[in-house]
Amino acid sequence: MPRIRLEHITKQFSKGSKAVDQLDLVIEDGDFVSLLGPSGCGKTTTLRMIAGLETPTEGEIYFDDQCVFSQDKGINISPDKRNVGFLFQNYALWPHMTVRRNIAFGLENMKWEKSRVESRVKEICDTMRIAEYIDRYPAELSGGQQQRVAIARTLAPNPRVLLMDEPLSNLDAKLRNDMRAELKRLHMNTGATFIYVTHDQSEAMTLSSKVCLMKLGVLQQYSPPLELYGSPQNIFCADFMGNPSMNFVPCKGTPRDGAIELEAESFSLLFHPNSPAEIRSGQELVLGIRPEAVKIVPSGGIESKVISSLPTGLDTILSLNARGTILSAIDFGIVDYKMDSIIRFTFEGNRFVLFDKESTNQITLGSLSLRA
Amino acid sequence: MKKLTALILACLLVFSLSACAFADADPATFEELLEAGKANGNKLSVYTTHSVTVSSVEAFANKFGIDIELVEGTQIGDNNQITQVATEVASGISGADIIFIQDGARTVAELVDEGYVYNWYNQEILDKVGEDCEPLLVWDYCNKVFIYNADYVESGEINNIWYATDPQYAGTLQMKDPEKEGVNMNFLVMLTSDENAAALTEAYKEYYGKDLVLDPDCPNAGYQFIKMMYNNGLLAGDSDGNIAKAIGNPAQEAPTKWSALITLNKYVKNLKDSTVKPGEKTLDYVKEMTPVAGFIYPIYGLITSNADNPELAKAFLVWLFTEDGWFGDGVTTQRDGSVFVGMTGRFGDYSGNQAIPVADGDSPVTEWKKILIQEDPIFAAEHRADVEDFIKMIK
Amino acid sequence: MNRKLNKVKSFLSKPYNILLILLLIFLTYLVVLPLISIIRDTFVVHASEKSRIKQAVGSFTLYHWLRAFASNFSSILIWEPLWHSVYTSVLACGVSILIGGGFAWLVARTDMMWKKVLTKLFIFPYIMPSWTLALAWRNFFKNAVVGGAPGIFTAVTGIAIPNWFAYGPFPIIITTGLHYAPFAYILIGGVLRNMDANLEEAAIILKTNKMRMFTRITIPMVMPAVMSTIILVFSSSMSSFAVPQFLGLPVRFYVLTTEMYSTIQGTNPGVGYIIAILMIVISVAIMLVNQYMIGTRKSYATVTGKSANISLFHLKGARLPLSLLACLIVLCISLIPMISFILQSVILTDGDYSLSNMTLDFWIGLSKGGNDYQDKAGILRNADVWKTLFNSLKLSVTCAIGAGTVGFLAGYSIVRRRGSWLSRLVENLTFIPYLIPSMAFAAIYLSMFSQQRGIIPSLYGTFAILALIGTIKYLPMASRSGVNSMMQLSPEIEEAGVIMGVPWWKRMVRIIIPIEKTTIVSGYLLPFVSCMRELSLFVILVTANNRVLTTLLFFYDEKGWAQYGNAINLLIIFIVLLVNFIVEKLTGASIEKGVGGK
Repeated sequence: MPRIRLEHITKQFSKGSKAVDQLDLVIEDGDFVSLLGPSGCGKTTTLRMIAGLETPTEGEIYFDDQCVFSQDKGINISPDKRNVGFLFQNYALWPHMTVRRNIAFGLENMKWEKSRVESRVKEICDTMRIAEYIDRYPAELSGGQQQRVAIARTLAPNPRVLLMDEPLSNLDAKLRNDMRAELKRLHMNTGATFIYVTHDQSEAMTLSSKVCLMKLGVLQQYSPPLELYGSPQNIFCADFMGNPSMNFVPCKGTPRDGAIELEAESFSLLFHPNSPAEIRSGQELVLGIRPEAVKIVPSGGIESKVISSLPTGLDTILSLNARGTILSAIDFGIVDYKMDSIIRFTFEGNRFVLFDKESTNQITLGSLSLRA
Repeated sequence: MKKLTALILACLLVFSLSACAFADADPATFEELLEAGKANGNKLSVYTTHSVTVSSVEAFANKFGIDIELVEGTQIGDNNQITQVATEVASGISGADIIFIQDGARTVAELVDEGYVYNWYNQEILDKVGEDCEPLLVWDYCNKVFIYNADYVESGEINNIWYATDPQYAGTLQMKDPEKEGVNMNFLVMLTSDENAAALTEAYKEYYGKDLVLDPDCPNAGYQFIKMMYNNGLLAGDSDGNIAKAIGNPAQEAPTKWSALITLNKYVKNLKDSTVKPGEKTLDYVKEMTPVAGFIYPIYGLITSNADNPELAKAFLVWLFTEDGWFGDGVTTQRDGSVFVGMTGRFGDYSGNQAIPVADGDSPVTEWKKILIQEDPIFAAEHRADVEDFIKMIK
Repeated sequence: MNRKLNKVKSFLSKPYNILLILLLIFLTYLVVLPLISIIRDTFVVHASEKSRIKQAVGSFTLYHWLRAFASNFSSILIWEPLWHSVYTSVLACGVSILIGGGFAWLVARTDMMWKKVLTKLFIFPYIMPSWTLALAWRNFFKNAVVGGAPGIFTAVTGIAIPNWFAYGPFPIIITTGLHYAPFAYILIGGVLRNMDANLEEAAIILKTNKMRMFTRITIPMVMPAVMSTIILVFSSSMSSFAVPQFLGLPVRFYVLTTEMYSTIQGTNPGVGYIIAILMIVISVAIMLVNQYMIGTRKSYATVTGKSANISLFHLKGARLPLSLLACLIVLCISLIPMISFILQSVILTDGDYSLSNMTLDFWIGLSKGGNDYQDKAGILRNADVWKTLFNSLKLSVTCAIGAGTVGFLAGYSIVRRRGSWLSRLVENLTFIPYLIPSMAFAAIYLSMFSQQRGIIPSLYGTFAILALIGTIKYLPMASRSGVNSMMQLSPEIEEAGVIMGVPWWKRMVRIIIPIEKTTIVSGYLLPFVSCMRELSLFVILVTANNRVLTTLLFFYDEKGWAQYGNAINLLIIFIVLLVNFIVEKLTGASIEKGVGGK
């Protein structure tokens, strides 16, 4: 199983902005890496460049130590020689072939023996639970079934690397959840390297071992999903991850005795960094507060009005108006709040994030307390 | 049974044609007709197979100051014209007032017999035309003769009609497709008459030096001739004009003994045409040919039974038999401003009025009639379908 | 009783119901009755058959059917022309697909040069009248063997053209195939361009080699487009008349249409009507085959995807030669025919292309008298030409307004009452004229309207019969676009008006028509352009009094007036191109969108 290395990869389409800009990425063997970002961030392009379907305009790509692409050295190994599997967003099943023919096609290309092709098709169909549809045409299958056929076709030749381009985006919500679990098991069973493109942050969170978050062709953060969630590198990362999304409170900071005094529009707080951080006095900052860190307790120090309350049974998402600042909060369990009622809350935990307003970069993590 | 019906049909035709005698000449004079026609004045529409008539109509209107809304001549081929006139008159549509039409066989059967058109002449016409007033008034005789490319065919080389079946001339003879041109078909039909078949049998012996043996599918020498001519690569062209241009074209690829059975008129037109390139290929035509040198057919002038302005139509007809109507008077113009010259200098057109001289160098119609087959509308009508079917089978 | 009356009342209170009833009557009269009339006509004696059948005109006879199917003549009258029609059409399909599909592939998938210009010119024949290439072929390859001076090719190169090359099946197949090649290009090119690139990428990733990719993925993917091209080209060339008339007749090569023309114009129209019925049966059979194929499991609408920049196939060394070859073919079907028409319209003596042999007299000269070679005024001075030109324009406008309006109303009412038997019936009726080959349709109208029928007088030789047949023949075109556009318009838009009490006509004028403006306009323009270049629909219906430009061209050609004919041909092409250009500028609708738009 290979380790995939991208060095200074840049892709510029004919006279336009750069789809991917100076991307450096190392994907370890057996990883499940998600390429995440809003549409147009270059994630699909990156995936296609790894597969060889797209040619970078700059940089180098290595599979282990073998260079599969290098602009400088003029190397460009064609997709069929890179031993990758590719799962397309729209499945790209050949409509004029039955399920069996679709799956067998790639195996025949590799000059497998007939009996071997047959047994492999049978095996993979059993694994993907599509054996009963084996003689149908794609048009006669449901979306979920087509998806399984596409996966079966991709996995049949046992690729070293499996590249997936938003494979679940065409499925309905329930089916998508089922498929996620299946993909995760598949990753474990095959032990292959998975590279997975998605714009759905929760999909990236739940599936991957590492997430590569991109924006406008530029890598924002590349780390395990929980780290990305807990310690976002910048406001974009913080905002993109999590649902409901993080609250951002603009404020001015003043360092005091290793802590930082924060002066927001409606309240004053004291920020205790987890590790020492330096700021200028009066520096413009943005405080990031995850909704789950807004704890509703009768003894809470801040009074606020409930603007809306959306209970799901599992939790209840609240929108609160605290002295003019709107904050979203989350409360777990079967609870509901009357609209316009007055409640009290406090800030809990030590994963509040302080960003520099100008650069939007993270300064530090820490905990909060109210100032008298 | 078939014979019997044919006989009855023939009798009917004879009866219908002979019903009118020369005594029927209309006493009305040209001036009277012209006056009445101008007064009636809604339109004058002429259908004709002959291109010159189209200009004649324009000249007629100009000359006599006829100021009515629509005076026009329309050139329509015989097949189309017969269908059109029959349908129009039958369903009461205002179409032609007078028609000039060839192909006597179909004209008699489909137009005269059905009462869609009728034969008309007055004393003035009778005086000029004489016996050609009946059964149908002949306005113009046209002849089609064997015209050849004089550069490749010796003068006198072609002198027996059986040359058309001679392998030596295979693929060199052209004529307008008889299926498209009724008069050509009628000529072939006429060849199958007993009299002409006998002449052909004799001519065969003269040409080939042996007796003619008929194929089982050929009832007589006429059919045998038609079959052999087709099988010898007869080129059935689309128009006499194109054929004339083809056989006399200066840009020939290989020397070929081209000849064609086409209207003599095209011979002159082509002479004129090839003067563009003086000294090159020329055409000539055959008069001495055993047993016949081609055929002559009439173009009839007939009034439609639903004519809107029969008087003016008749006046026009009378005028056509005058020298002015035939040649133009040198002054009267056509619609586009050019002077009307009518048949001036035209070979191969002979007025029903035999007092009108033929073009310089051409022979008078009486002479032509002696060496050419004449169309017998009754015989042609009766046997036309047989010959058409025969041709369909052999080709 | 009362309940029934109320039912009828409420039925008639809906304007679209009234429209449907009116359309039903209209179409029954103009489509169904004529079909019955032509069957009747195969059992009676016509005037021109009198001397043949020797029975009274109009009396009952089995002569036609016996002659067509149970006589020595049946092979000549029916089977031979049928076989000729079938095999020339099949091979023309092959030529179309080879040339059009090949060109489509070059344009969509390779780095061929000059794509933009070439594609514009390639669809040229589609805009032009169907006989354009046939006439050009004759201008070039005419040979002296069949009559006439040699064509331009022989004049220039000195190489003699053999008969089989100049006339008969070979040139018919080539010119028909080339004329319809734009169909193939547009249909197949559309698939190649829009085809989901992922389908091929998936194959690449699965290590498919180039050959296997082409034969197992690309070709099967374009198969549906190829099939619809085949259906379209096959039925078009089966019903084509001008091409076999111009190129087949000189060597007595008859197809169904030309045989029908010669029998109807000749002395046995009864057999012509039988051929017309035969052609309708064939056309319906093709349609059924088509429908059967659409119904099978394997069928699929071509998958279109978010097509990523598909990588172009690099022709490398073959790039220049292939580009030049494409360029040559494109010139052969677009500009070179025009040049041949111009040349033929100015030369005096056939076969001589020197400058001294050229004149503009055939365009602007005066008539030189009945005995001259130039016995007519130049076409731009010729009153006849102007008259027919005006008639053509009048006819095209009338047919466009007729077909466009009826088609739009039909589309509206069919969609509003979708699912009811009445709506289905009317929809099927509007589609029938599409199934009937033009010339067979004309034969039907000839048989139906050449005598008085009920309150309608005989329309023979009138403008009305041409206007009527044009309107009905192009109705499927217009109603199809009407139905399609109305389907996309949700009924709520009109219902909002109903709730506010807006009367029907106001809803149409104020709501529906403004929204559907562009489709309505194209519903009018398509019939106009088609009508302007139509020959086979009119050729047996025109008489001297209602000639249109196309039939005048045909008449001139039959007469052998080559120069005048070529000039008129150019005039027609010029008008068609001009109208097309205006249409494109006004509506932005490119002609390509009309393809397959029944």
